[in-house]
Amino acid sequence: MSATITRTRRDRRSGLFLPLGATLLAAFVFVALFGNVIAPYDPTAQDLLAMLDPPSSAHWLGTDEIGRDILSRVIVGTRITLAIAGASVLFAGVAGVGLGLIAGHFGGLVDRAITLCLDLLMTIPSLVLAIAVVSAIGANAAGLITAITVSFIPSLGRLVRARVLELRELDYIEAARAIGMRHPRILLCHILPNAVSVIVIELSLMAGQAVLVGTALGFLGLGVQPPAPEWGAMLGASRQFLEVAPHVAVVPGLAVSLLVLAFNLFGDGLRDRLDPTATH
Amino acid sequence: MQRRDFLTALAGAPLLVGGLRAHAQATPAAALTYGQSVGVLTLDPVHGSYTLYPAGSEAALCIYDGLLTFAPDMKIIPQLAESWTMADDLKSCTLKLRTGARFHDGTPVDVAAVKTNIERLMDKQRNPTNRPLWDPVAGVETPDAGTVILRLSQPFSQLPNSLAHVSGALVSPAAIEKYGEAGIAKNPVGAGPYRVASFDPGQQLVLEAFDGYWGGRPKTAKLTLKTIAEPSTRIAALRTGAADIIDSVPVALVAQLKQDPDVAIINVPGLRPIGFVINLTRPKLADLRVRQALNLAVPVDLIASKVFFGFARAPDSPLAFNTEGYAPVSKLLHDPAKAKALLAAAGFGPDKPLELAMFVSQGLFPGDVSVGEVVANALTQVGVKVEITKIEAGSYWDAMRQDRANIKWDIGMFGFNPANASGLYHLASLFKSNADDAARPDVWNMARYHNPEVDRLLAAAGTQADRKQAAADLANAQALIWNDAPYIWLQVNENVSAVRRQVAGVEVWPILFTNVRHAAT
Amino acid sequence: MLRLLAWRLALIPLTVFGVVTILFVIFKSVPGDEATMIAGATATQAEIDVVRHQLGLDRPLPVQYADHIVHLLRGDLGYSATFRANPLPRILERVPATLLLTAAAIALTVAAGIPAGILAAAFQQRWPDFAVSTGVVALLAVPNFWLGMMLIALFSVQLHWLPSLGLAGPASLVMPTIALAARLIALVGRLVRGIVIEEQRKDYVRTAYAKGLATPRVLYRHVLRNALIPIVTVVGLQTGYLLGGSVVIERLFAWPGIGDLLLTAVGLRDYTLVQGITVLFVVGFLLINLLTEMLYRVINPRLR
Repeated sequence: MSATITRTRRDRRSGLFLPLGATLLAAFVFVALFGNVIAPYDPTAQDLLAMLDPPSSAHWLGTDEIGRDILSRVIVGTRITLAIAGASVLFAGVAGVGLGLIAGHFGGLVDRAITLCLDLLMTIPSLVLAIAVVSAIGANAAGLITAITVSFIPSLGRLVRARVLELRELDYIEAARAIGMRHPRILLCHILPNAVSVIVIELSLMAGQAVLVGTALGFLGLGVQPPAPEWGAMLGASRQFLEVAPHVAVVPGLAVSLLVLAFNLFGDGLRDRLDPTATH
Repeated sequence: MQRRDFLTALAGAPLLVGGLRAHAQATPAAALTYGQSVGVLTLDPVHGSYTLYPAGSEAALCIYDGLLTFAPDMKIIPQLAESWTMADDLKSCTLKLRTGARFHDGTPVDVAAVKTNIERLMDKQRNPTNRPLWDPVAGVETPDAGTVILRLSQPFSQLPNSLAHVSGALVSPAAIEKYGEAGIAKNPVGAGPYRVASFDPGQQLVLEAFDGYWGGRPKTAKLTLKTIAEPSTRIAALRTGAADIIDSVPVALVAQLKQDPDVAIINVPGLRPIGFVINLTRPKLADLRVRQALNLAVPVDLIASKVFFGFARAPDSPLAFNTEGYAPVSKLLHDPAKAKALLAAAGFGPDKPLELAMFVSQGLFPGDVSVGEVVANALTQVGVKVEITKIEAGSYWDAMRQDRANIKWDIGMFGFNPANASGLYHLASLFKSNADDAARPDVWNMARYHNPEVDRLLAAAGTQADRKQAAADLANAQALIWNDAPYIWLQVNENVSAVRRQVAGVEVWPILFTNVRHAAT
Repeated sequence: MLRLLAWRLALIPLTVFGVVTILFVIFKSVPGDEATMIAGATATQAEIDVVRHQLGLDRPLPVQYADHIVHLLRGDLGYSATFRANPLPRILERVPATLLLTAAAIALTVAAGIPAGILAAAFQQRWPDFAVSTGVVALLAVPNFWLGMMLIALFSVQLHWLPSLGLAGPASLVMPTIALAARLIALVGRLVRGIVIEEQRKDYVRTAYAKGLATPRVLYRHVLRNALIPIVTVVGLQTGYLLGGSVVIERLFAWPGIGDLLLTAVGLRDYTLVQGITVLFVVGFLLINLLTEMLYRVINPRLR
């Protein structure tokens, strides 16, 4: 579900959203790419003599329950979270757009079958669906990505379908059909390009949601395998030590928030730029 | 409902809750709450026993009495039996039954009831779990109203341990009749000091004092066993007084909890040695040098002192220190250089690293995921490549106990809790050869360990009338197993519970159970 | 409207049927089944096979499916390894806690979101507006479980003001409700701000002001009433978030609701329980949506 709802009037400030979001995202991508180089320590290196240490000059953000450097784990973990969010949004995008295009374009029985499936999936709260899928497939990166993907397909599919239905009525599409152009060509050459802006906006907002769902699953212990420094799993492990070492929980949570913020700003800004009339 | 009434009802709800709490605080002796880390789901000694572990067993200790039971130091003491005598050939046991004891439904605990229960335990259909405890029992005789004789198919020195084990609890035969075989799990009727007032499986079990208890009515009128899975929530509950007793306190929080003047910590060394079972069906791990190297690579003393804050100790035998029959073999050493040399001798090095798939449970053993990560890191230091797979506690057994063709792990975390406090039972469960190594393990020999001499020693120790010789056999078996290294041995944890300071009588047993049947203020 | 209600109610079982089918396909397409869990840790393969036969898991899939549906019609979700019985009563007894939490979250959303939006609109482009808008952006980015953890760290661990333990008195409701409602408060706040600003420009509001009506009165009589419809829509659209979010929040705060039970079921690999709870979530989702739609029709006279 989109993080944004009606903004009836374009604010002056919202013009800043896109550059701000894009800059933040670029920073995250940079950290994701070069995290191993930037990180002061190996994110899996342990020092059992320095467990749950508070922030110090040696460990700027302190250490976790088996003496690993939290700063390094947060930095290197960027790649994992970004990759999971990116992969699930990509897969959900391909599947959702595909289904939406087919349903919207062909209509009739195909449309009804696809819409029915999407509607049914949509009645399962996305996190609940993700948990059910992970429990069936197993808790690992593949299971996580599949779960998030499956839970995102319905809303995206419906969105694309609605846009296609709008476009289908346009004169030039009807004309294309009249001159006997084949379905795949109409879909790819005429309809898809016109739906791109809607899709891109939706995907970038969805990426923020994917980060939230992914880290929530990690927090619940349904995420990637240790010792990978996944932010949600770090938060889950820190829960036990909240009483004695609250610092362990602070920074991974801030990192998640900042990344979601980046995606939200980017998506909102993009919407204002590409689709100023959008009301929902 | 009128709108106003509805609002009044809403406003009244918090008052009601507050009132109940105030009442509970005014008469503290009347009610105690035990916050358990896992929930109680079923309460039948047979039919899969008491799930979940150890919560169900702890509830059973309050509801049921057995013929024998354990003292807090795991010494076997009489309960519903007044005395017991093993025959010299270890092929029968004569018990004198206590008179005047009654089940919660008022029916007497007589020899017929004992016979019904023992036969229920013997029946493999009804009692598929804990088989090694009950398989040797061949029959029950009741020559007179006060005597029960158990006949054994083979000499079995550990029968008293079986009778004291929680699965030896006596259920009212009338209740079995009334609720049916499947109904006992939800409607347990025993002869213990507490009877069930209400039972919401997985959430809470409310017990009330049983007036007709043969040992006298317990001092605490109402005992609530409440599931509080999250450790920090459990601690918060204890500190605020919402719970009077809690189990499995994370050792990282003990120091902080000790500063609370209202709280007392109870810690007792456990009997469950934790380690990584090694899959001996893998050719690379069949080489003893490799297994020795894996053991030498792990800093066991650091794990005990740092990861567990000293609330653990590295073992020096396959049995934990206080187990009946324990004999020390040798101290574990941490020597990465020697580990590397041994691996090199076995043909592994930087060009051809040893690769291991590690299974580790999540929330089954103390600090399991953290310990798994520490061990993986230690193994990496000597050039072993480790891939960790963590598995939810509930499905961990199934992932580990596969038939040979489907074993996906090379090393997997495991720890056996000898719930009948017998070292022999412990070793036999883990290291007695499986009938068929290709199938699922008979008991817990997941390593597929096979040493004919160990098999012989274990059999001799169990059937030997000479207890001294039996102890020597058991010690020899420990030495053989220890030196064969079918495990990466790690630590023996202490069981740590905590109580409100005014609560007395809580026993933390070495076999993991926090026994609250004597708890009172 | 009654006819519509009846029609929509009739659709719910059909939708549930569809969801049940999808879940059946998902859980039958993965290897492994409940039999191993039920047979117990030390069961032999033969014993597992016996259990599998007893549960009918060795029958062809279409037969199992038909059987599953027939049982569901009788209110039997199947055999849960955790509870050794049909888990429906165990699930239902946990529903009130989840309802309480979600209802409290919706109440807080309305109580906090609407005033925040009005405040921001009334002081447009001044500091209250900036404060609210910044809060909105922040709350939309913060994971609810982390917010909950930070609340625990502050109010339970540091200040000892609030209990972090399950459901025990009104105080225990505070933190889970805030953590769950945060996102909705942000959405409603932003929405209300937008609507109020928009409506204030409209002729009838200007007329009302021109007639000398006081600001609060205008706000209440005209503006808010128009804002109700989109607010109901947004809260309705977020039902999925609300129910899904409650799962994590319940686990974090040891809240005895069905979300907590769902995670227990996942941990125990009790597929019967997982499917049962998921279906119950779907029923909840559909009912809340229906409620939203009815409410929508009540407050929007044009649709009546």
